[in-house]
Amino acid sequence: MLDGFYVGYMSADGYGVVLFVFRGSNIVGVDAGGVKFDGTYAQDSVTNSFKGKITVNAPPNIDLVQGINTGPNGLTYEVPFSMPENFLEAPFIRVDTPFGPVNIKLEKLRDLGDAA
Amino acid sequence: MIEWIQENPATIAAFLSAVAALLSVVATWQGPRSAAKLSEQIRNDTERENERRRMKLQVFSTLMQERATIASLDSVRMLNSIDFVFSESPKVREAWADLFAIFHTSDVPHPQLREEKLRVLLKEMGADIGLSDTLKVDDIARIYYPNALAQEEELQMHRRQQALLQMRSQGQPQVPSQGIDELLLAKFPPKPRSDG
Repeated sequence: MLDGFYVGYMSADGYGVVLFVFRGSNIVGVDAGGVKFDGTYAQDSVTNSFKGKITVNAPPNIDLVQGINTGPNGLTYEVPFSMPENFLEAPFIRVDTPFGPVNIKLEKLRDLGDAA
Repeated sequence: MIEWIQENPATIAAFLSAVAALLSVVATWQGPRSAAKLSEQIRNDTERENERRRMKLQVFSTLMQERATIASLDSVRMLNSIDFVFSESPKVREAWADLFAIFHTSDVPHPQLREEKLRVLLKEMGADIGLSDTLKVDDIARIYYPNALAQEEELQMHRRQQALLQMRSQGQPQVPSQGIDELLLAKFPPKPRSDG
């Protein structure tokens, strides 16, 4: 489906950059602060949009892009998302997290393929 | 006058006796009062001196205990009380003035210079209190401060700085964090509106 390497530019209270890998129905990502993203998605057969859910696992004592600190125990939360079929042409995708909304601009870096 | 005195010796003797008796009464009444006043004054002076010595010992012992990291709340309070607790000790006040000058130099003070001035201050305090015979400079320089405590203090300092940065940035226009190229910001979408 969407297999490949992607970069996500995130804007909320602050800014963040995440590297994603889409493979099959899985999405995995990580940012410079060590926040990990792990989720799945599926394509709606009627609208062709993509919908899924990502579990965000943030380490302790860092500031999230939403502008909150994860505290001494870190934070784990789930984020449902939905993006149109042509999400790469969309200016951004809005996701609503438990700590506030985040706008994400996804760019595809390359297909998975063989490492060259 | 002299003739009258010579003619009336008994009268004179009686008069003088009466005066002596009167003076004796006054002395008997006044003596204990004066002694009581003197005793009270000595007691007050002793109490005042003991209280001053107690305060000096409190300042000295606190600074000795906190000398590994002189920025604690207790040590700051004690440093700020030196001028009135040791008001009659010019050497102590002079040593405190030297240390204070180190704290407030425009450049970052060298830690060794600060520690040296602190040792001088503690030495002068010890001498003023009467501990100079038993407390040496080497004793003051011998500080026990485990690494775990030093790391805990460093951790608390970083947390405090982080919290201050977060507080100060609230309500301020968002500025890009250091290291993010302004051109890179152009890649970021706009910030979400709260009304969605």
